[in-house]
Amino acid sequence: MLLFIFIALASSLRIQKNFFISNIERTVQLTDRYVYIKSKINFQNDGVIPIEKIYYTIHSALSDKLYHVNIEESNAKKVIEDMDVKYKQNATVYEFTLQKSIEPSANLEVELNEYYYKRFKPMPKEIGVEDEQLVQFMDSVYFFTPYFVQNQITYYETQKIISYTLKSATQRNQLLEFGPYQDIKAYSTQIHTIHLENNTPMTVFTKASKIVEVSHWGNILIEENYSIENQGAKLKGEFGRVNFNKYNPNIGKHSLKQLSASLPYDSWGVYYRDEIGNISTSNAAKGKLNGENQALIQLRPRFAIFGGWRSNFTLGYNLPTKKYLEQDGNNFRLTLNFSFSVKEMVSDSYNFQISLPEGAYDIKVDLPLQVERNDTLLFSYFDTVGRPTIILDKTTTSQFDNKQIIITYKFSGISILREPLMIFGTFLFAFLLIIYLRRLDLQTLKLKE
Amino acid sequence: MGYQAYSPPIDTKHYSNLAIVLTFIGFCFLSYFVIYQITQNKQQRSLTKELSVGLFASLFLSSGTLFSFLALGLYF
Repeated sequence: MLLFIFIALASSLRIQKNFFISNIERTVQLTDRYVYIKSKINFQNDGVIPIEKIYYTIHSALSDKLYHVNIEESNAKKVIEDMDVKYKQNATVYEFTLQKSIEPSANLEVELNEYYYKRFKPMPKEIGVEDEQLVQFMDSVYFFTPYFVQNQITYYETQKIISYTLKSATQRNQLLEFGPYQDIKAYSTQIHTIHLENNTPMTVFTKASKIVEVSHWGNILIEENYSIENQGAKLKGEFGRVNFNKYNPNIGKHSLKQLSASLPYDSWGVYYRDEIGNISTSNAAKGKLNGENQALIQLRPRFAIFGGWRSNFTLGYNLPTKKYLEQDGNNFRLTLNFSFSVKEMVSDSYNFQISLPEGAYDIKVDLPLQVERNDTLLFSYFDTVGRPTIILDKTTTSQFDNKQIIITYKFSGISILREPLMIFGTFLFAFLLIIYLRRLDLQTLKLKE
Repeated sequence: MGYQAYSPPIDTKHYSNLAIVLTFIGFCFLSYFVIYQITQNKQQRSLTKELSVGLFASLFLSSGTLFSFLALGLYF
């Protein structure tokens, strides 16, 4: 019983009595494919203890739509199990450790960034090729937080507002202003909806995977497979090439026409294909993006992807081992990026598969992320015992998960000769067989001379 | 000794040339082997010559095949 109370006490959030949010300014961006919320939060510590950790709560209705959250001024983030919040508020708690603590009678302004996907609900559900896409966005009027909020103001940035349910809001062209609200209790929620125009295609990857094959003959082969789906408003009626003029940018604005990917600068042999074969509508160039040397790939799907439509494609490329594989005697270290190359999208599920050369042993993987790991063997060209393969699975994956994965393994120098010896043996066997067969005496009757 | 960038035993840019040259030499040995098999009868052939030509032919043909695979982008 005592233990139970102790656990209960240990798990509950330690919110200091005189620690609260004095001001919060939220800016919700509803102009893009995904929703980005930037909040400037001013924490006030009127207590006596310095505060090092702050908590962020997310309601379970939204927790699977949140693909990334961070606080600029923090250096550690973790999900904590809190029974009280979990069952009373139906929410998940993130704990952020601040870079420097908030001293008593001091305040600190932090920047909270929330990234959501799948937040828009198409309304109407079906539209024509030439129509605008209207969507509904549902949100809470108050910031969902375990802290008391003294003052809150929220801005919604849109392309065009059709209507909104909260009548006290002020509209300034494309901007909707909620508040300011004073003295909001912790965990306050009040649902409101905004009906707005958003013509960006609501595409997500339902599945993405990256397959890596490392060869000690100097190549790293990478193949990425994507399953894409447009979850926006469905296309009304039949699709016709006459209505859909691909050279007119005002038609089919809500369909996905183009994607971009960025590959490492030294990648070569890039291919873009699907089940049918090569997709010729792609462009590649080497250049600088965000101050980084990259190979930029412009991909256009085989057809514009309208609401409710799905498509699959494959993007593959090769990398030299020089930059990604390091050696120290028999020890090898492989450094790879975790996430996929189509950086603008979020995937529901992601599978990352790394095959090391046959004969690699003592494999260690350094994982900076929460992923599920399974190991298997891959049988490909000239394989006898199978290549050791690491399979990493993750649910919602985005570019924020693009962390470096370091794999260390041992590989003896003789193992590289396995395949050449196999080919040599085959040829030698064939020659020896010919020599032997040509010397056989199969005549049963000897001819007399 | 710390970790150093790994480079393969043979530079990847030489693969296609190696494939052509080694396969060509291999074919020369193979043709000599075939000619020797056909022109000489069983009693005239020497086993050491057959074996040595066969060995060299398989050596060059196998390395030629190996580098052809690598040059074609079929890494193992």
